[in-house]
Amino acid sequence: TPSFAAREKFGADLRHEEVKRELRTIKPSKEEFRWKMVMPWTEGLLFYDMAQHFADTVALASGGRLEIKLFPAGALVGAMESFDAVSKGSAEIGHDWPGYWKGKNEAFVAFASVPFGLDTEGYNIWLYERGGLKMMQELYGQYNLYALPGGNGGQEMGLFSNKKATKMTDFKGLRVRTPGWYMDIMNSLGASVTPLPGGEVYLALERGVIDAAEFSTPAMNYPMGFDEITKYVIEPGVHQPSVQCAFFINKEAWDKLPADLKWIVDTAAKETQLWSTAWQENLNIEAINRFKGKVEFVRMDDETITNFAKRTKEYLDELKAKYPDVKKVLDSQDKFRKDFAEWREIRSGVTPWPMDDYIAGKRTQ
Amino acid sequence: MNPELLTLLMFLTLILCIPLGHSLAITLAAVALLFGLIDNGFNVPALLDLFVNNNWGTFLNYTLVAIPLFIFMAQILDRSKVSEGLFDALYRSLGKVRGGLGLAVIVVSTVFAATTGIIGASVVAMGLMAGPALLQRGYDRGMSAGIICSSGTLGILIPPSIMLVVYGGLTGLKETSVGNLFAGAILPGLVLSGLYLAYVAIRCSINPSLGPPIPAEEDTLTAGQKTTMILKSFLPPFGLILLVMGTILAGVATPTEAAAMGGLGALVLALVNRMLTWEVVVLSCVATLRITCMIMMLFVGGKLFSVVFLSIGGGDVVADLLLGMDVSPYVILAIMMAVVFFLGMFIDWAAILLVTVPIFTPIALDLDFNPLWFAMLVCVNLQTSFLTPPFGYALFYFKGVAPPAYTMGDIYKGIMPFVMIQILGLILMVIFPSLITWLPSVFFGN
Amino acid sequence: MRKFAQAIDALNENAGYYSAFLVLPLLCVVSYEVIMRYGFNAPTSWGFEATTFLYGVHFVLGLGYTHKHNGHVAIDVFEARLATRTRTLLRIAVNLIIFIPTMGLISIWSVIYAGTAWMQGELASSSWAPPLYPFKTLMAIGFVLLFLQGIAKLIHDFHHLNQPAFSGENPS
Ligand code: NA
Ligand code: NA
Repeated sequence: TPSFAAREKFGADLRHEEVKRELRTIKPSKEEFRWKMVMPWTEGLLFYDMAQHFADTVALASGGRLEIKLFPAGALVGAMESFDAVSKGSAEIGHDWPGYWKGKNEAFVAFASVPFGLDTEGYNIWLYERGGLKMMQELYGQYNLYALPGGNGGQEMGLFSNKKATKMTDFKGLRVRTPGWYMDIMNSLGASVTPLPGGEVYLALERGVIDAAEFSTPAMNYPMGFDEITKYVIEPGVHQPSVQCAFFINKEAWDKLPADLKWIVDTAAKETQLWSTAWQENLNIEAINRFKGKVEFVRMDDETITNFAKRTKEYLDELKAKYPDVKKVLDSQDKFRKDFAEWREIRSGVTPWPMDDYIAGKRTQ
Repeated sequence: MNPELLTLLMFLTLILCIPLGHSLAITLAAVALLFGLIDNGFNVPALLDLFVNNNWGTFLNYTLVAIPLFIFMAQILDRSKVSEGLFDALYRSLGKVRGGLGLAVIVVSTVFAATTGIIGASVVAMGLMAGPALLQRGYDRGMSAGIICSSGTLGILIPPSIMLVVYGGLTGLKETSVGNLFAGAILPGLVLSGLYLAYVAIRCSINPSLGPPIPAEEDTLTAGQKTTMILKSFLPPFGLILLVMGTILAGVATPTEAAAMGGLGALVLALVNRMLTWEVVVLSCVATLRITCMIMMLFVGGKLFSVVFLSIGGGDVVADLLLGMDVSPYVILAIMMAVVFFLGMFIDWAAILLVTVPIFTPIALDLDFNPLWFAMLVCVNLQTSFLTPPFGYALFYFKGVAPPAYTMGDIYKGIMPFVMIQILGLILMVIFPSLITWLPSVFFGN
Repeated sequence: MRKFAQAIDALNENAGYYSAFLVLPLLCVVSYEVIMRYGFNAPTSWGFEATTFLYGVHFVLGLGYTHKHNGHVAIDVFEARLATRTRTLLRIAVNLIIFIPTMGLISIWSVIYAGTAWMQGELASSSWAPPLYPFKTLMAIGFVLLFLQGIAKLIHDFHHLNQPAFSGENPS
């Protein structure tokens, strides 16, 4: 009979071998660097704080040897110009939601959020352990960029709306603002999507130019004040089960960094990824509390959600047929989801909070 | 080189280059080029990629689309003689009052200001119509020049306004969206107009030689005729104001869309007045292009200047300097306002906005000032820049079209009381912030 | 050289004249969008972007034209006090030091920028997703036209400097 000891070693950290090699040559560096960071966010958005958190961690961990100065959208380049600016080296690093670069390559959206796609846990596992990060670096690499996951804000809210849309027919003619793939999906389901820039959304919603708009997580949305000018929030936010951000670094700037600073940047990005979720989800508690008095949370009915899911699958299949890059990434995510599904199912049902609800028989999560 | 020295040198170079007489926009870009290269160790490709990147951002700036549309609207209106009818009606009705003609000019200019977004049009129109009329009635030359120039510049402040569109396009803050700025500028504009009216009425009633009433024999119309004339002449501009400001404030359109609606409205008015010829359309299109390009080129050059300035850390230098002083936030506000005022004596409003807004806005936010309130103070200040010697564009426009009897000396002397009124208005807005914030809160509820 | 400068003058005169009319379709597209949205509850997917493209092309193609007509605002009161010959010399010097390097470099990089967009086949990140390279190309053309106009002015100024009956007036 096989003994416990005879079993091969299971699941060792593969990085350890690389680190052992690296430790033979690595030295504390002396050289100092000052980087400029560009982004599509203005200072009022919590995404900006994510970028700042990363820059702070890098500065602290490197003892100030790598200082990253943040330039909000418009200060150095416009929001949508940050990608090119870093690609060309006008700034050394950028922070983004990769879906903004859809026009360069559709596959960027898959690293940002996919409707009915990966949640925060899913992105973490897929990126770090299932080859997602490698694919991400290949894609950004085509544009002279080195990329790292840059924070995940978690599940997004649904649409802030002045029309109570819960059934499929309610969405016919609904004037919506949403970016990315969900825009096409909504369009094909009869809604009319206006692609307004972020700064125009509030006024457009307030003035009735649009009926409904989504922006981001509860905490991110709170400062935008959408709750003051709409009556409903249509849940769930199937369009973005999580919002994954990225840091992208100009290749020459990255190559110039000594090994110890590279490891600091890498670790700081991971720390930002961890912290951002905890920080956002905790803020969401208070944000939801504040929303509750002002807007009514309504749920789309099951049939509608199923219809959205069906249309999403068709749409994603069309995309895969059209763009090989999209196919490669989505296939990898789908494979992971299939592989993970069994354990996800087996383990489920133990975390409905609070405890009293669980004892009373609630088994939803 | 340290950021403090570089910041100082950058500003000094700009100030030394401006009098060379080359285009301001390109001078700004050239100074940006020089200091951008000094800052990045003469990495030409990196800096130029940054420049072109920013130009593309300007090329695609949806907020600024309103600029050509508002200018086109003003051009068509200017050629459809709407303001002439209005002036004529008021002239005949108010003529008997001491300073009445002057008051009429202010009222017409204020109404006209609410239909157009640029100042050239109103100052030129009033200079041509009212300049000779006032002179003929024995008005003091300084007084008349002051009235026409100051009320003529209300067009840049009272919405719709190109200046407010540019401001909104620069900040990207919800509080200073173009809609909010438009709503916020209405009361300050009316307050200033009211102050001009009060000043003229009081000065002329004390000293009628400044603005004598018209002789009785010219006052031939009955009260009924006067009322009809006034009502009829007020209708077209008010229809247009309702169309433009109404659509924005009542929830139908974004400012850009309202600008298009206004353009259509102006075309209809011109058609009704039988002034809509192909020649008028061509002239309006060409004039629109020239003014648009002038402003957009300033946007391009000013953007490059502010990008390099912020990139070398100039924003931090100024912020540290101002915020580091151990004084009340209102002293810092006063300093910022003084800087804008001083720059306004010499350079163009768009260049001032583009250079100062990116530097001052973070400071204002840091001091917990309401961004909308702060924005409006800057804009009132910039309206004043059209009036302040030595380079007050309104004064030059007026000199260009007024009868030769108006000397530059008359104009400079006459404008001084009105500049004081501007400063008084600014102080009122600092003491009573609700003058600025109340109307936006009514319309936009925040 | 003089011929070349005159050709540029004519080129920019035409570019400006025709692009001036773009304000009319701009007015129409924005109005159409408003009418479709409020009249028929059917906003277009393209109106918003078409608007920004029209506006961008409108002004960028007019930059050279505006420069030809001395329409870019300048503080020229000090310059105006100089004798005509000195003024022309100053204008040449300033053109060579300020305008030529700045606009030359911006023009070259605008062309490179458009070239990159062509090679990447870049589309807009929207539902309509029109290609961006034609518009980046038009932007490059606009800045090149402005640069060429600066060259034309330089040639005119040199020409006038060498004229026996020197007037110092720029023909534009
Ligand atoms: Na106005
Ligand atoms: Na001035």
